[in-house]
Amino acid sequence: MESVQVLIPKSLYTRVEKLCKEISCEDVNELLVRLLRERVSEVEEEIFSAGVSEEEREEIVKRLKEKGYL
Amino acid sequence: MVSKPHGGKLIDRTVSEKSKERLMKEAMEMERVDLTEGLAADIANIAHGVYSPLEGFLTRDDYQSVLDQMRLTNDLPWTIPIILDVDEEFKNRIKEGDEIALFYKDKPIAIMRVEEIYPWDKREYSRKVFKTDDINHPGVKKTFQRKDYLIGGDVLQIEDLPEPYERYRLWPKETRVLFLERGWKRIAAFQTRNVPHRGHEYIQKAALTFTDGLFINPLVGWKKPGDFKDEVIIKAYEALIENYYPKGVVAFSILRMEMRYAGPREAVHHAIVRKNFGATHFIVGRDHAGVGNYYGPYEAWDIFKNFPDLGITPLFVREAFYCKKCGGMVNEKICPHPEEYRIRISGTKLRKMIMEGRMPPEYMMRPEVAKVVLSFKDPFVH
Repeated sequence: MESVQVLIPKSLYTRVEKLCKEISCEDVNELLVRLLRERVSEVEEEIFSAGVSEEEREEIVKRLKEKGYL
Repeated sequence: MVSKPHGGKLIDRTVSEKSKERLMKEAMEMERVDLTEGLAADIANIAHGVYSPLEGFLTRDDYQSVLDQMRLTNDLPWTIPIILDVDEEFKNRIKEGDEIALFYKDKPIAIMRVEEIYPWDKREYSRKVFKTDDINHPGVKKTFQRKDYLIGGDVLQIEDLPEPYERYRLWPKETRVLFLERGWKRIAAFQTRNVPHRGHEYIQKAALTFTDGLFINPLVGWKKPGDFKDEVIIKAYEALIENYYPKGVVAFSILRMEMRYAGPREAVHHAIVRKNFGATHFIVGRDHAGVGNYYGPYEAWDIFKNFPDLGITPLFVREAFYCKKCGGMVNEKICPHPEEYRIRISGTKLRKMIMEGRMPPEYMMRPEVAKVVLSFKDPFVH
Protein backbone atom coordinates (compact mmCIF):
# COMPACT_ATOMS: atom_id res chain seq x y z
CA MET A 1 0.00 0.00 0.00
CA GLU A 2 1.27 3.40 -0.95
CA SER A 3 2.04 5.61 2.05
CA VAL A 4 2.48 9.27 2.81
CA GLN A 5 4.21 11.01 5.67
CA VAL A 6 2.17 13.02 8.15
CA LEU A 7 3.65 15.17 10.89
CA ILE A 8 2.28 14.69 14.37
CA PRO A 9 3.55 16.21 17.62
CA LYS A 10 6.32 14.14 19.17
CA SER A 11 4.51 14.13 22.51
CA LEU A 12 1.50 12.52 20.86
CA TYR A 13 3.74 9.96 19.17
CA THR A 14 5.31 9.12 22.54
CA ARG A 15 1.87 8.74 24.07
CA VAL A 16 0.77 6.36 21.34
CA GLU A 17 4.06 4.47 21.64
CA LYS A 18 3.37 4.01 25.36
CA LEU A 19 -0.17 2.91 24.66
CA CYS A 20 1.17 0.48 22.07
CA LYS A 21 3.37 -1.21 24.66
CA GLU A 22 0.51 -1.36 27.14
CA ILE A 23 -1.73 -3.23 24.75
CA SER A 24 1.06 -5.38 23.31
CA CYS A 25 0.86 -3.83 19.90
CA GLU A 26 3.94 -4.45 17.82
CA ASP A 27 3.87 -1.47 15.54
CA VAL A 28 3.11 2.13 16.49
CA ASN A 29 2.35 2.99 12.92
CA GLU A 30 -0.17 0.20 12.67
CA LEU A 31 -1.87 1.35 15.86
CA LEU A 32 -2.01 4.92 14.64
CA VAL A 33 -3.57 3.84 11.37
CA ARG A 34 -6.12 1.72 13.23
CA LEU A 35 -7.03 4.54 15.60
CA LEU A 36 -7.23 7.01 12.79
CA ARG A 37 -9.43 4.70 10.73
CA GLU A 38 -11.81 4.23 13.64
CA ARG A 39 -12.04 7.93 14.27
CA VAL A 40 -12.37 8.80 10.61
CA SER A 41 -15.27 6.39 10.22
CA GLU A 42 -16.94 7.98 13.22
CA VAL A 43 -16.52 11.41 11.74
CA GLU A 44 -17.76 10.14 8.39
CA GLU A 45 -20.78 8.70 10.15
CA GLU A 46 -21.40 12.00 11.84
CA ILE A 47 -21.15 13.84 8.57
CA PHE A 48 -23.39 11.28 6.95
CA SER A 49 -25.69 11.62 9.93
CA ALA A 50 -26.59 15.08 8.69
CA GLY A 51 -28.28 12.83 6.14
CA VAL A 52 -27.72 15.12 3.21
CA SER A 53 -25.73 15.22 0.02
CA GLU A 54 -23.76 18.33 -0.84
CA GLU A 55 -26.46 19.37 -3.31
CA GLU A 56 -29.19 18.89 -0.73
CA ARG A 57 -27.15 20.75 1.85
CA GLU A 58 -26.92 23.74 -0.46
CA GLU A 59 -30.68 23.69 -0.95
CA ILE A 60 -31.24 23.50 2.80
CA VAL A 61 -28.83 26.38 3.43
CA LYS A 62 -30.78 28.43 0.89
CA ARG A 63 -34.05 27.57 2.61
CA LEU A 64 -32.61 28.38 6.03
CA LYS A 65 -31.47 31.76 4.72
CA GLU A 66 -34.92 32.47 3.30
CA LYS A 67 -36.47 31.67 6.66
CA GLY A 68 -33.99 33.93 8.44
CA TYR A 69 -32.06 31.22 10.29
CA LEU A 70 -28.77 31.96 8.56
CA MET B 1 -20.49 17.44 16.37
CA VAL B 2 -24.24 17.15 16.29
CA SER B 3 -25.74 13.95 17.71
CA LYS B 4 -25.95 10.90 15.50
CA PRO B 5 -29.53 10.00 14.70
CA HIS B 6 -31.08 7.40 16.98
CA GLY B 7 -30.18 4.05 15.48
CA GLY B 8 -27.41 5.61 13.37
CA LYS B 9 -29.38 6.67 10.34
CA LEU B 10 -31.78 9.51 9.75
CA ILE B 11 -34.91 8.02 8.26
CA ASP B 12 -36.40 9.59 5.17
CA ARG B 13 -39.79 8.22 4.10
CA THR B 14 -40.78 11.11 1.87
CA VAL B 15 -41.12 10.83 -1.90
CA SER B 16 -39.74 12.89 -4.74
CA GLU B 17 -41.96 15.40 -6.53
CA LYS B 18 -41.72 13.14 -9.57
CA SER B 19 -43.35 10.14 -7.87
CA LYS B 20 -45.87 12.17 -5.92
CA GLU B 21 -48.49 12.45 -8.64
CA ARG B 22 -48.40 8.74 -9.47
CA LEU B 23 -48.62 7.73 -5.80
CA MET B 24 -51.49 10.14 -5.22
CA LYS B 25 -53.44 8.44 -8.00
CA GLU B 26 -52.63 4.98 -6.62
CA ALA B 27 -53.66 6.06 -3.14
CA MET B 28 -57.09 7.07 -4.40
CA GLU B 29 -57.73 3.43 -5.38
CA MET B 30 -56.73 1.98 -2.00
CA GLU B 31 -58.66 1.32 1.18
CA ARG B 32 -58.36 4.47 3.27
CA VAL B 33 -57.92 5.39 6.90
CA ASP B 34 -58.89 8.89 7.96
CA LEU B 35 -56.39 10.28 10.40
CA THR B 36 -56.62 12.55 13.37
CA GLU B 37 -54.33 15.56 13.50
CA GLY B 38 -52.07 13.72 15.95
CA LEU B 39 -51.70 10.67 13.71
CA ALA B 40 -51.05 12.81 10.66
CA ALA B 41 -48.32 14.54 12.64
CA ASP B 42 -46.87 11.15 13.63
CA ILE B 43 -46.65 10.21 9.95
CA ALA B 44 -44.83 13.42 9.09
CA ASN B 45 -42.50 12.80 12.02
CA ILE B 46 -41.77 9.27 10.84
CA ALA B 47 -41.26 10.42 7.27
CA HIS B 48 -38.86 13.23 8.15
CA GLY B 49 -36.77 11.24 10.60
CA VAL B 50 -38.02 12.87 13.79
CA TYR B 51 -38.84 9.36 15.02
CA SER B 52 -35.74 7.67 13.56
CA PRO B 53 -35.21 4.70 13.50
CA LEU B 54 -38.95 4.10 13.05
CA GLU B 55 -40.02 3.77 9.43
CA GLY B 56 -43.65 3.23 10.23
CA PHE B 57 -46.14 2.31 12.93
CA LEU B 58 -45.07 -0.34 15.41
CA THR B 59 -45.72 -3.98 14.71
CA ARG B 60 -46.81 -6.24 17.55
CA ASP B 61 -43.39 -7.36 18.86
CA ASP B 62 -41.99 -3.85 18.90
CA TYR B 63 -45.19 -2.56 20.47
CA GLN B 64 -45.00 -5.11 23.28
CA SER B 65 -41.28 -4.58 23.73
CA VAL B 66 -41.76 -0.81 24.07
CA LEU B 67 -44.50 -1.35 26.64
CA ASP B 68 -42.54 -3.92 28.65
CA GLN B 69 -38.91 -2.98 28.18
CA MET B 70 -39.05 0.63 26.99
CA ARG B 71 -36.92 -0.55 24.09
CA LEU B 72 -37.53 -1.68 20.53
CA THR B 73 -36.85 -5.32 19.73
CA ASN B 74 -33.42 -4.28 18.40
CA ASP B 75 -32.63 -3.03 21.92
CA LEU B 76 -32.74 0.67 21.08
CA PRO B 77 -34.34 2.82 23.77
CA TRP B 78 -37.92 3.77 22.83
CA THR B 79 -40.54 4.63 25.39
CA ILE B 80 -43.74 5.78 23.68
CA PRO B 81 -45.44 3.38 21.25
CA ILE B 82 -46.14 5.04 17.92
CA ILE B 83 -49.29 3.28 16.83
CA LEU B 84 -52.09 3.47 14.30
CA ASP B 85 -55.54 2.38 15.45
CA VAL B 86 -58.39 1.18 13.23
CA ASP B 87 -61.86 -0.16 13.91
CA GLU B 88 -63.06 -3.73 13.45
CA GLU B 89 -64.96 -2.94 10.28
CA PHE B 90 -61.82 -1.57 8.62
CA LYS B 91 -59.73 -4.43 9.97
CA ASN B 92 -62.07 -6.89 8.25
CA ARG B 93 -61.65 -5.14 4.90
CA ILE B 94 -57.86 -5.43 4.78
CA LYS B 95 -55.27 -8.15 5.16
CA GLU B 96 -51.58 -8.27 5.94
CA GLY B 97 -49.54 -7.35 2.89
CA ASP B 98 -52.09 -4.85 1.57
CA GLU B 99 -51.24 -1.27 0.82
CA ILE B 100 -53.60 1.27 2.31
CA ALA B 101 -53.93 5.02 1.94
CA LEU B 102 -53.75 7.33 4.93
CA PHE B 103 -55.93 10.40 4.51
CA TYR B 104 -55.90 13.66 6.39
CA LYS B 105 -58.58 16.28 5.78
CA ASP B 106 -59.82 14.29 2.82
CA LYS B 107 -56.44 14.15 1.06
CA PRO B 108 -54.07 11.18 0.85
CA ILE B 109 -50.89 12.03 2.73
CA ALA B 110 -49.25 8.61 2.94
CA ILE B 111 -49.26 5.02 1.82
CA MET B 112 -48.77 2.23 4.29
CA ARG B 113 -47.90 -1.40 3.76
CA VAL B 114 -49.86 -3.40 6.31
CA GLU B 115 -47.39 -5.73 7.94
CA GLU B 116 -49.49 -6.76 10.89
CA ILE B 117 -52.98 -6.26 12.31
CA TYR B 118 -53.42 -6.92 16.02
CA PRO B 119 -55.67 -6.12 18.96
CA TRP B 120 -54.39 -4.09 21.89
CA ASP B 121 -55.20 -3.83 25.53
CA LYS B 122 -55.86 -0.17 26.25
CA ARG B 123 -55.78 -0.68 29.98
CA GLU B 124 -52.38 -2.37 29.81
CA TYR B 125 -51.15 0.41 27.50
CA SER B 126 -52.39 3.07 29.92
CA ARG B 127 -50.92 1.43 32.98
CA LYS B 128 -47.54 0.99 31.35
CA VAL B 129 -47.27 4.26 29.43
CA PHE B 130 -49.11 6.61 31.80
CA LYS B 131 -48.63 4.58 35.00
CA THR B 132 -52.36 4.86 35.59
CA ASP B 133 -55.64 3.81 34.04
CA ASP B 134 -57.50 6.70 35.62
CA ILE B 135 -59.79 8.08 32.94
CA ASN B 136 -59.24 11.61 34.29
CA HIS B 137 -55.69 11.48 33.00
CA PRO B 138 -55.83 13.21 29.57
CA GLY B 139 -53.62 10.57 27.93
CA VAL B 140 -55.67 7.69 29.34
CA LYS B 141 -58.88 9.40 28.27
CA LYS B 142 -57.58 9.70 24.72
CA THR B 143 -56.34 6.11 24.73
CA PHE B 144 -59.75 4.74 25.66
CA GLN B 145 -61.33 6.80 22.86
CA ARG B 146 -59.12 5.10 20.28
CA LYS B 147 -60.19 2.20 18.05
CA ASP B 148 -59.73 -1.43 18.97
CA TYR B 149 -57.09 -2.72 16.54
CA LEU B 150 -53.60 -1.61 15.63
CA ILE B 151 -51.90 -1.91 12.31
CA GLY B 152 -48.15 -1.95 12.00
CA GLY B 153 -46.02 -1.35 8.94
CA ASP B 154 -43.85 1.11 7.06
CA VAL B 155 -45.26 4.36 5.75
CA LEU B 156 -44.32 6.49 2.79
CA GLN B 157 -45.41 10.09 2.99
CA ILE B 158 -46.63 11.56 -0.26
CA GLU B 159 -47.77 14.96 0.95
CA ASP B 160 -46.54 17.20 3.75
CA LEU B 161 -49.10 18.53 6.17
CA PRO B 162 -50.11 22.15 5.77
CA GLU B 163 -48.32 24.16 8.45
CA PRO B 164 -49.72 27.54 9.51
CA TYR B 165 -46.36 28.36 11.09
CA GLU B 166 -44.25 27.24 8.13
CA ARG B 167 -41.65 29.91 8.84
CA TYR B 168 -40.77 28.02 12.00
CA ARG B 169 -41.04 24.45 10.75
CA LEU B 170 -37.69 22.73 10.52
CA TRP B 171 -37.09 19.02 10.05
CA PRO B 172 -34.06 17.15 11.47
CA LYS B 173 -32.15 17.38 8.18
CA GLU B 174 -32.54 21.13 8.32
CA THR B 175 -31.61 21.62 11.97
CA ARG B 176 -28.57 19.40 11.47
CA VAL B 177 -27.38 21.57 8.61
CA LEU B 178 -28.26 24.69 10.60
CA PHE B 179 -26.18 23.57 13.59
CA LEU B 180 -23.27 22.64 11.35
CA GLU B 181 -23.44 25.96 9.50
CA ARG B 182 -23.48 27.85 12.76
CA GLY B 183 -20.52 25.81 13.97
CA TRP B 184 -22.40 24.50 17.00
CA LYS B 185 -20.94 21.34 18.47
CA ARG B 186 -22.86 21.21 21.72
CA ILE B 187 -26.52 21.94 21.43
CA ALA B 188 -28.96 22.03 24.35
CA ALA B 189 -32.55 21.33 23.36
CA PHE B 190 -35.45 22.75 25.30
CA GLN B 191 -38.88 21.19 25.03
CA THR B 192 -41.88 23.30 25.90
CA ARG B 193 -45.64 23.65 25.66
CA ASN B 194 -45.75 26.91 27.54
CA VAL B 195 -45.13 30.60 27.16
CA PRO B 196 -41.74 31.40 28.67
CA HIS B 197 -41.50 32.74 32.19
CA ARG B 198 -38.36 33.78 34.02
CA GLY B 199 -37.83 30.25 35.34
CA HIS B 200 -37.70 28.86 31.81
CA GLU B 201 -35.33 31.60 30.73
CA TYR B 202 -33.04 30.89 33.67
CA ILE B 203 -32.90 27.18 32.84
CA GLN B 204 -32.27 27.85 29.16
CA LYS B 205 -29.50 30.31 29.91
CA ALA B 206 -27.93 27.97 32.45
CA ALA B 207 -27.70 25.33 29.70
CA LEU B 208 -26.53 27.84 27.12
CA THR B 209 -23.65 28.87 29.37
CA PHE B 210 -21.78 25.65 28.66
CA THR B 211 -23.09 24.78 25.21
CA ASP B 212 -22.71 26.47 21.82
CA GLY B 213 -26.36 26.89 21.03
CA LEU B 214 -29.85 26.57 22.42
CA PHE B 215 -32.51 24.78 20.42
CA ILE B 216 -35.95 25.86 21.61
CA ASN B 217 -38.46 23.47 20.17
CA PRO B 218 -42.05 23.95 21.38
CA LEU B 219 -44.68 21.39 20.60
CA VAL B 220 -47.61 22.54 18.54
CA GLY B 221 -50.77 20.56 17.97
CA TRP B 222 -53.28 18.99 20.34
CA LYS B 223 -52.89 20.01 23.95
CA LYS B 224 -55.20 19.78 26.91
CA PRO B 225 -57.61 22.57 27.85
CA GLY B 226 -55.87 25.25 29.89
CA ASP B 227 -52.58 24.99 27.97
CA PHE B 228 -51.49 27.97 25.88
CA LYS B 229 -52.48 28.16 22.21
CA ASP B 230 -49.70 27.57 19.69
CA GLU B 231 -49.70 31.10 18.32
CA VAL B 232 -49.34 32.59 21.79
CA ILE B 233 -46.33 30.40 22.56
CA ILE B 234 -44.65 31.30 19.27
CA LYS B 235 -45.23 35.05 19.64
CA ALA B 236 -44.13 35.00 23.28
CA TYR B 237 -40.87 33.29 22.34
CA GLU B 238 -40.28 35.74 19.51
CA ALA B 239 -40.45 38.53 22.09
CA LEU B 240 -38.13 36.76 24.53
CA ILE B 241 -35.50 35.86 21.93
CA GLU B 242 -35.58 39.30 20.36
CA ASN B 243 -35.11 41.12 23.65
CA TYR B 244 -33.14 38.81 25.91
CA TYR B 245 -30.85 36.56 23.88
CA PRO B 246 -27.69 37.45 21.98
CA LYS B 247 -28.01 37.07 18.22
CA GLY B 248 -27.13 33.69 16.79
CA VAL B 249 -27.21 31.58 19.94
CA VAL B 250 -30.80 30.36 19.69
CA ALA B 251 -32.49 28.23 17.06
CA PHE B 252 -36.24 28.34 17.48
CA SER B 253 -38.46 25.96 15.58
CA ILE B 254 -41.73 24.20 16.19
CA LEU B 255 -42.52 20.51 16.31
CA ARG B 256 -46.00 19.33 15.47
CA MET B 257 -46.42 16.45 17.87
CA GLU B 258 -49.11 15.67 20.39
CA MET B 259 -48.41 15.93 24.06
CA ARG B 260 -49.10 12.55 25.65
CA TYR B 261 -48.72 13.68 29.27
CA ALA B 262 -46.84 10.45 29.94
CA GLY B 263 -44.38 12.05 32.36
CA PRO B 264 -41.12 10.08 32.67
CA ARG B 265 -41.60 7.96 29.54
CA GLU B 266 -42.41 11.04 27.53
CA ALA B 267 -39.32 12.83 28.86
CA VAL B 268 -37.17 10.11 27.29
CA HIS B 269 -39.21 10.26 24.10
CA HIS B 270 -38.70 14.02 23.93
CA ALA B 271 -34.96 13.49 24.37
CA ILE B 272 -34.77 10.90 21.57
CA VAL B 273 -36.68 13.19 19.23
CA ARG B 274 -34.31 16.09 19.94
CA LYS B 275 -31.34 13.76 19.42
CA ASN B 276 -32.69 13.17 15.94
CA PHE B 277 -32.77 16.93 15.41
CA GLY B 278 -29.05 16.90 16.21
CA ALA B 279 -29.11 18.11 19.82
CA THR B 280 -26.39 16.77 22.09
CA HIS B 281 -28.03 17.77 25.37
CA PHE B 282 -31.64 17.77 26.48
CA ILE B 283 -33.06 19.83 29.32
CA VAL B 284 -35.34 17.72 31.48
CA GLY B 285 -37.67 19.73 33.62
CA ARG B 286 -39.08 18.93 37.02
CA ASP B 287 -42.23 16.86 36.44
CA HIS B 288 -41.44 16.91 32.71
CA ALA B 289 -44.53 16.11 30.59
CA GLY B 290 -46.45 15.53 33.76
CA VAL B 291 -50.05 16.34 34.54
CA GLY B 292 -51.90 16.52 37.86
CA ASN B 293 -50.24 14.40 40.54
CA TYR B 294 -49.71 11.27 38.49
CA TYR B 295 -45.90 11.40 38.61
CA GLY B 296 -43.37 12.25 41.28
CA PRO B 297 -41.59 15.58 40.76
CA TYR B 298 -38.28 13.92 39.85
CA GLU B 299 -39.50 10.70 38.23
CA ALA B 300 -38.71 12.15 34.83
CA TRP B 301 -35.08 12.49 35.95
CA ASP B 302 -34.78 9.03 37.51
CA ILE B 303 -35.96 7.20 34.41
CA PHE B 304 -32.84 8.30 32.49
CA LYS B 305 -30.76 5.96 34.69
CA ASN B 306 -32.21 3.13 32.60
CA PHE B 307 -30.75 4.51 29.39
CA PRO B 308 -26.96 4.90 29.49
CA ASP B 309 -27.05 4.24 25.75
CA LEU B 310 -29.44 7.06 24.87
CA GLY B 311 -26.88 9.06 22.91
CA ILE B 312 -28.02 12.44 24.20
CA THR B 313 -27.06 13.91 27.55
CA PRO B 314 -29.96 14.80 29.82
CA LEU B 315 -29.53 18.02 31.76
CA PHE B 316 -31.33 18.03 35.04
CA VAL B 317 -31.68 21.69 35.88
CA ARG B 318 -33.36 22.40 39.18
CA GLU B 319 -36.49 24.48 39.40
CA ALA B 320 -35.69 28.18 39.38
CA PHE B 321 -37.17 30.76 41.70
CA TYR B 322 -36.60 34.40 42.52
CA CYS B 323 -34.68 35.04 45.72
CA LYS B 324 -35.15 38.47 47.26
CA LYS B 325 -31.87 38.18 49.14
CA CYS B 326 -29.85 36.99 46.11
CA GLY B 327 -31.69 39.56 43.99
CA GLY B 328 -32.23 37.29 41.02
CA MET B 329 -33.31 33.96 39.61
CA VAL B 330 -31.56 31.09 41.36
CA ASN B 331 -32.14 27.47 42.27
CA GLU B 332 -31.86 25.40 45.42
CA LYS B 333 -28.31 24.38 44.66
CA ILE B 334 -26.98 27.91 44.53
CA CYS B 335 -29.20 29.83 46.93
CA PRO B 336 -28.52 29.51 50.67
CA HIS B 337 -31.50 31.56 51.82
CA PRO B 338 -34.62 30.29 53.58
CA GLU B 339 -38.02 29.91 51.99
CA GLU B 340 -39.24 33.32 53.21
CA TYR B 341 -36.92 35.02 50.70
CA ARG B 342 -37.97 32.84 47.81
CA ILE B 343 -40.71 33.63 45.35
CA ARG B 344 -41.71 30.59 43.34
CA ILE B 345 -43.17 30.97 39.89
CA SER B 346 -46.46 29.20 39.91
CA GLY B 347 -47.91 28.33 36.52
CA THR B 348 -51.38 28.39 38.03
CA LYS B 349 -50.86 31.87 39.48
CA LEU B 350 -49.43 33.09 36.19
CA ARG B 351 -52.39 31.70 34.24
CA LYS B 352 -54.83 33.34 36.64
CA MET B 353 -53.15 36.73 36.20
CA ILE B 354 -53.23 36.39 32.43
CA MET B 355 -56.85 35.28 32.49
CA GLU B 356 -57.70 38.37 34.52
CA GLY B 357 -55.74 40.59 32.12
CA ARG B 358 -53.21 41.53 34.81
CA MET B 359 -49.56 42.15 34.04
CA PRO B 360 -47.41 39.55 35.87
CA PRO B 361 -44.55 41.02 37.91
CA GLU B 362 -41.19 41.23 36.17
CA TYR B 363 -39.63 38.53 38.35
CA MET B 364 -42.21 36.14 36.91
CA MET B 365 -42.34 37.14 33.28
CA ARG B 366 -40.47 39.60 31.09
CA PRO B 367 -42.72 42.61 30.34
CA GLU B 368 -42.21 42.23 26.57
CA VAL B 369 -43.39 38.62 26.81
CA ALA B 370 -46.28 39.46 29.11
CA LYS B 371 -47.48 42.20 26.76
CA VAL B 372 -47.57 39.75 23.86
CA VAL B 373 -49.47 37.15 25.88
CA LEU B 374 -51.94 39.73 27.16
CA SER B 375 -52.53 41.02 23.64
CA PHE B 376 -54.43 37.79 22.90
CA LYS B 377 -58.09 37.95 23.77
CA ASP B 378 -58.14 34.25 24.56
CA PRO B 379 -54.67 32.71 24.87
CA PHE B 380 -55.79 29.31 26.21
CA VAL B 381 -56.87 26.02 24.66
CA HIS B 382 -60.46 25.07 25.50
